[in-house]
Amino acid sequence: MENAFIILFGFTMLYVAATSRLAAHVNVLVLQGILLFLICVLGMNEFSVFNLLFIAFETLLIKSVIIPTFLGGLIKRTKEYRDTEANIHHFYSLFIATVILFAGFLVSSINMPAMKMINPLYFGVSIAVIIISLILITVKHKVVSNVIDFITMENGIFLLSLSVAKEMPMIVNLGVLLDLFIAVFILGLLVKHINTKFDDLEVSHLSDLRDCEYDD
Amino acid sequence: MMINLLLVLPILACILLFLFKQEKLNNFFVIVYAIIHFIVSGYYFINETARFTDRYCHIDNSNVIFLMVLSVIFLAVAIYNKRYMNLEDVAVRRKRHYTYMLLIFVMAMTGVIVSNNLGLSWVLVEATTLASAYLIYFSKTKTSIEAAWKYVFICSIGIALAFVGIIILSIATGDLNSLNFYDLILNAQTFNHFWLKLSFIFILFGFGTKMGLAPVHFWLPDAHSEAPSPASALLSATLLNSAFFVILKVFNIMVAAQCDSYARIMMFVMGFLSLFVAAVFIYHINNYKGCLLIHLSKIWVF
Repeated sequence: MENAFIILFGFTMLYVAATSRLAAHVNVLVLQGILLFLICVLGMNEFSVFNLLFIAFETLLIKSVIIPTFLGGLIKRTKEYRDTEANIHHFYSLFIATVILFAGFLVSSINMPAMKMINPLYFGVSIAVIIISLILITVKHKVVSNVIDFITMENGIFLLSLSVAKEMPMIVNLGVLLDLFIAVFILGLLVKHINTKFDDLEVSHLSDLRDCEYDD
Repeated sequence: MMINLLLVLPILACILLFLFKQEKLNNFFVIVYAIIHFIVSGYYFINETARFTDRYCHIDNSNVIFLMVLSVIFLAVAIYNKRYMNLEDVAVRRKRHYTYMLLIFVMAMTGVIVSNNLGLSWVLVEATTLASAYLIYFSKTKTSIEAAWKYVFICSIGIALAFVGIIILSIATGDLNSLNFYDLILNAQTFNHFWLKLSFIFILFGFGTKMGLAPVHFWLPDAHSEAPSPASALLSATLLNSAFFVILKVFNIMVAAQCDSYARIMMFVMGFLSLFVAAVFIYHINNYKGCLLIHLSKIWVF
């Protein structure tokens, strides 16, 4: 059952690649948080209330309520609703994302001894999600969409950590969660400042600092 | 233990500063912390019998020199910082925020150096990024916001990739369920080489981003030249060391697993590339501070 949710999780990235409305991207983050929660709960080997509560806190509360609400507020305040001027057309980014996701599925079906140490489908899809997010970061033109793609990458890494049937120590888990949360918060604050100083949120404004003068 | 003092003291100082909000306390706490830091590090540096290893912390021959460098630089910065802050004409509130972040930044770097757990080191390296972001953004100009944005974004992505490396390393460890450096080195012979080599690439690139190795160094000259001078000194002289220290620890694991020739080639390529980039850029640079910083940081490649 959790395999279906993992595949659905991979497909959410195609939606992110194909659409330009930032509000839709935020909805995808909500959906990804819920999917990660379901994948965690269904894949749990032994049931314990404490683990369940921590997972619910991590995925449902932080990933699908607090961060999307914060980003939604940010989009409303900065009045940037679309990311239309991406470096390449949405069709091509959808195409690239599809190819990478397909490669992810191929990786998960490779039959070699090293792959026996992990859960292959988790591994393939999560690597695909991480790479698609990195490509989308380079393609998108608005700083808010960069932040959204950063969070989808973190979600991919979260799925990757589930592919290892081992648990990180609690202190590390909490630290990772706290760092992600604060990073998103700080990036959000910087977005607000960029909006007031530069009037809009184009990434291309952020290129005044350069160390050498080119003769072109 | 004395080392816990270094990790708890800045948090206490921040709480006290938050409660009392006195302007004089800013410099007072920074200097007191710097002096205590210097005394504790000096104690471990001189007294070899006091060095120890426990579950999350360790002080041994490998990291005591890093700790000492951090202390000496921080002491010098703390002395200079007093005058710098008196000359800076900014609101009292911003000076207070600056002090919070400076204290937490130094605490996180101390944590990275004394940490005995790869996961914990990762968390603390990310904490240094978040704490120093405000220091870079301190002057609140257009260029400083650009530098801060680049810094937080590039370093966060780099560090996220390092976390991928840590997850892959935990695949390589097989049945060992621990990220403790001693356990990892002790059991390195049994690790799966395919996953271990893959994880080293991610970890080298991830922490290499933080260390400013080419080709992932782009945040470095901007961030260092935009930060206020005391923060800039800490960034170049101690932050890069902390990131380098984590790479060194993982390299030790590679040596113990007998994959070191592979790791050496990877490190040599990145080091050589960094030197090359520095050598090319140094002729075309129009910012003296940036030029100096690039040059100094590249010395670390050796």
